[in-house]
Amino acid sequence: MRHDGPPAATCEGLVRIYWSPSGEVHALKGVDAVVPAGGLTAITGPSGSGKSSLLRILAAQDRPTAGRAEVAGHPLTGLSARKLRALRRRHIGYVFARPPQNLLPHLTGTEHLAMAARFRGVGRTEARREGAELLDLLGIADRADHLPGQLSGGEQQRLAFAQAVIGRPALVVADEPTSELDSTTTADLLAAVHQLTRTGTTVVMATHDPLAAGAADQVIHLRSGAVSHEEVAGRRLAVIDGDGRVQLPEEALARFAARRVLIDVTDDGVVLREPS
Amino acid sequence: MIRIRSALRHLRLRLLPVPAQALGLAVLVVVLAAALVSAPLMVAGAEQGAWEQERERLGETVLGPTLGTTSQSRRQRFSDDRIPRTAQLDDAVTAAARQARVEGSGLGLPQTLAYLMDPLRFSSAATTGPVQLVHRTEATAHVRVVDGAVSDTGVLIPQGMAERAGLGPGDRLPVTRPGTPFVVTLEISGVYADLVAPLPEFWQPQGFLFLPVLDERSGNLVYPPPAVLGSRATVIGTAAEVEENLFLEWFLPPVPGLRVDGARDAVAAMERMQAAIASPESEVSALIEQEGYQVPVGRSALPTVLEGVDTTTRLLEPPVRAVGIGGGVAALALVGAWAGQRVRRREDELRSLVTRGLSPVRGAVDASREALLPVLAGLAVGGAVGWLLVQRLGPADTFPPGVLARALVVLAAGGLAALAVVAVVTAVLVTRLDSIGSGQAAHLLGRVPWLAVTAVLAVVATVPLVTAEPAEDGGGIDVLTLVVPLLITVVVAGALSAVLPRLSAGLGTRLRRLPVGPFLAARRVLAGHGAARLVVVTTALSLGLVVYAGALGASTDRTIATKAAVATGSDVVVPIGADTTGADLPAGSMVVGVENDATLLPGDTRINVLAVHPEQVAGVVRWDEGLADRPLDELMRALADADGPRVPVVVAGDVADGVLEGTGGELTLDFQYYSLPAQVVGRAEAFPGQTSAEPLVVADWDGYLAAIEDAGRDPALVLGREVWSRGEVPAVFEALSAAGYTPDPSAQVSTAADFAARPELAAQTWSLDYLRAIALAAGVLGLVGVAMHAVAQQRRRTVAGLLLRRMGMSRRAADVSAGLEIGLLAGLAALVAVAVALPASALVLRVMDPVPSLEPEAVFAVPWGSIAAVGAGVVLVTAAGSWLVGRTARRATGGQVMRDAT
Repeated sequence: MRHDGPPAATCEGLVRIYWSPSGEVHALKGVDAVVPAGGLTAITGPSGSGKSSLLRILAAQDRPTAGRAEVAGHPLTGLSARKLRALRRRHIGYVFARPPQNLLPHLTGTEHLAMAARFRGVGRTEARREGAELLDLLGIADRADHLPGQLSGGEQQRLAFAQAVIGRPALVVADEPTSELDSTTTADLLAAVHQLTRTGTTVVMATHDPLAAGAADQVIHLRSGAVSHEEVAGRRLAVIDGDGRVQLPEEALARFAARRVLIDVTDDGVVLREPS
Repeated sequence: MIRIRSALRHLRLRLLPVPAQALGLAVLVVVLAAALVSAPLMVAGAEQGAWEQERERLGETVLGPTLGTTSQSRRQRFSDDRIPRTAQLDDAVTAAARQARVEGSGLGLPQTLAYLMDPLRFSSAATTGPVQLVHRTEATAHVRVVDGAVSDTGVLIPQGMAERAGLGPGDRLPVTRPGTPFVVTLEISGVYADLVAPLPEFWQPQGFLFLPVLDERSGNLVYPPPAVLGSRATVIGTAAEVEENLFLEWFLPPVPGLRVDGARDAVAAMERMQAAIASPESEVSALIEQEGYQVPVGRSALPTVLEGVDTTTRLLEPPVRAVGIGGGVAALALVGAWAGQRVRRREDELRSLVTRGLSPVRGAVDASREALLPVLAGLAVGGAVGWLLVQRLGPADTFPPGVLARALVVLAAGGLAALAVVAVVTAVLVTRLDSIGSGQAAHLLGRVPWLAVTAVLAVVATVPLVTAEPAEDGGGIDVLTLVVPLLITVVVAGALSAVLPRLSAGLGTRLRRLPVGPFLAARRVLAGHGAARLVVVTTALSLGLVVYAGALGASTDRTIATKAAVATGSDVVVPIGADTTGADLPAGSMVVGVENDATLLPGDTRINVLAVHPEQVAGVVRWDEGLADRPLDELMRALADADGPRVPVVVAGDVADGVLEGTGGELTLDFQYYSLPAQVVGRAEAFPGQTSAEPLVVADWDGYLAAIEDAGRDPALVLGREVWSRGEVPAVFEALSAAGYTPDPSAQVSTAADFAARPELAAQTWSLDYLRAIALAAGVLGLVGVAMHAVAQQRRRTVAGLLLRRMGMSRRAADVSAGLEIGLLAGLAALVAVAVALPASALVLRVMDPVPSLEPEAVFAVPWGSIAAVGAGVVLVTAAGSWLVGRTARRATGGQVMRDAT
């Protein structure tokens, strides 16, 4: 994972509100997150925590109600639907959770990659070369001329990743790509994804799977529409937003029943204490 | 080879990726194309059909144009050559016809008819008498020579004359012009069988030469002088020798099987010929100038007939266009539904493409490309189907030229519209796929109470129908009459399906007592989910259209039949002389007396009088039960059994009730010079023989004649006689001749068929037949939609179905559940359809009266055939749908179902 270069995506104070007949739904309540380039970032959290909303914004399928989101250096706020589509075409790959959602039943693996390359504006020769490399990298080169119905679930998801990666997009967004796979296949797929990240591809995926989260370079944990913490290199980090707000871990929060704290700033850090 | 295969595969993937889906679209486009193409074909077919109907009814000899003149000079001083030179005139007219190119324009070259202005007298050893000398081109080929032979120099005499005068072939026939010394002796070469009514078609325009006419004063028939047939040279030569002027006519025979476009060409050719004759350079003009002949005057039934044809087309075109466009729009809506279904069935694929930047325009282009082949195939098949159906079942089996181009234009427009609909629907749905949640506009639209809005629209649209009066030239189907019942059906079906969930709550306990299959079916139907509601509404619409069209068609048929019976009296009405002393008429015929322009007192109501033998009426007239509040037998019995000094009468038509109630039914029939006391013994809304909107007083024959005599009048002089008879005209004439009655050939024979051939009736009948055909297609599509919905539901419920089976539900119970659900949905829709369509059609019928000037008003008929068809359709779709659902369920394997469900 490269931390020196510009990030693949950044979010600052991201808010997303949906309107429904029963009233407004605040799905994201000020999310700050940075997706570094060239790594695998996992987004975790319980159902309703805002994973899908964040993922859709990162995939340029949706615009935030407030806050700032930037993907591949392009701010999403204020982009027209047409420009959002153009951004998706050029810079973003997407992988759905269920293999049938990613693949067309009447196209072979090679044809899938050719069509994806055409969407991304890659020339035929280049597409053929890159497609062969990707299939080889993901270990499904011998299945290139098979239809999706002739592939296993894991192979289908690998093909889906190959399709999302072809043309070298700035970001590949995957929505629970391992949810339908057994643990062995999940491990194989994650290894393949790691192979991709080593070639410079940035992957961000929403997941409930601890195995997948464990394989990520960075884990962003959401709770109630905000980032509760991040895990980087096995360390758990709280996130401070631009206004100084921090979400405490649940075990820390449990210690402040009155929801009031005293803050002592020392040379070693910041200490929170109960007022009593 | 591999490259070709790859290219073909590539092409198939681009044009036909999912063949089964494409087949569905092709079927819908077949319906669209058939509906669209049938409209112009129907109008063109009606034009040809109306023409053929008139050609059949009038006969080609009546339709052919005729030019007429005489050898008489317009000047006081005239040349002696004017009669012999008529042969030159004849040749000149034929030359003018050639110049006007009448041949090849639907007409033949002129056939000459020449006969004397005043008959000559002949004398033989046995008798003497008047004789007419006639020449007609090809005349000898259209008589049956019973003795002797045809010759150029001799003449043919009629058999009756031959027998009376004791003449035969080889005899000489001296003829003279009365009051002159000129005598010409003709040679008899043969004898032809007498020409009697009904005349062969060839001779029909010359009926005056062969058939007797009625003497109005004496009421007796006067026979024309026997017609002696001779060659042109013989007739003109004889006329010249006796110095008797000739009537000359030139008949231009229409070519057999002349089509409507040929008839229009014929009219144009006739105009060209008249222009050629009138040209100062023409030989005809030169002869007219030299001999002072009358300018030949043309007459033809063709323009009038074509005017009637145009009227039929004019009246037919708007309703047919409205129905055709309505059918096309409905089919386009189904194409739109197909496009929506395509997006839903391939939602994963499209969603995947949308995440990769698929734009709505690109999605629309892809969908249109995939729709291209099915649309083209559907257009070809639908166009052919529409063509064949209209050709086989429409007004005519041939179409005027030019209609093919119009049909192709309509087809092309329909195909483009189908592709556009597919593109637009796909674009909209792809846009929706590309957006998260629904916007505020969608929220607002979702809050609109559509059912209430539709109900208000239905009420507003119904008001003009309730308040409208029938159009003078007959009403027809228009947008309003199509839209109102459909709106009401939507409201009723929508309201009913909205009430179903509440019904479900009320029936909760009772439903639970049902066996598993019926319980599931009832719960699913009563849940009234969106899809079920949509199915009920759309099926009710399509079936409602079937019943509605059936009701309008059946009612119009009944109305036309009733009006024809009322306006004509019976199938054939023949005026006869005052002598009604012939033998008894055959069954199905009767003599009636007619006296018009009387006044009914009090009230000063203009009336007509019909005298009948009550016991014969039931066997002769076509009675409709709706014409009176009691059966005809009872009405006639009241007429026959009445006793008293007054003439018993039945009053039919619009006579104020107050007049009858105030006088106790004792009225006076005032004929200006005399009056008759009458006693009303019955009322009817209308009665056969009521040829106008004026009321008709139906009197007992014996009582009425006795009253006339009591008033000092001769019934033979004041009462016109007619024979009313069932059957065809020739058969009726034969029966009348056999019974000793001699019809007046010059009088207009009226028939119920003639009445039904009126342009407004033909237009309405054909347009309603067309509506019925389109409605039938809509009904079939509606029922197919129910079956498709059931199969789609089964696919959606695959997991639930599998779980139920694993919980112990038998396959039979599952089949029963599916069958009952389909049957309940279709039955509910059919119920709404019948319940709405019948009153709606009764409401509309009033303004669709094809001949409002004639009694009675439009009569309603319950379309039992259409209702039975709807019932059969419901049963059929229930059976077929159950089978399809069962098959779909059996094809799903448990393992696959559960894996797909995760």
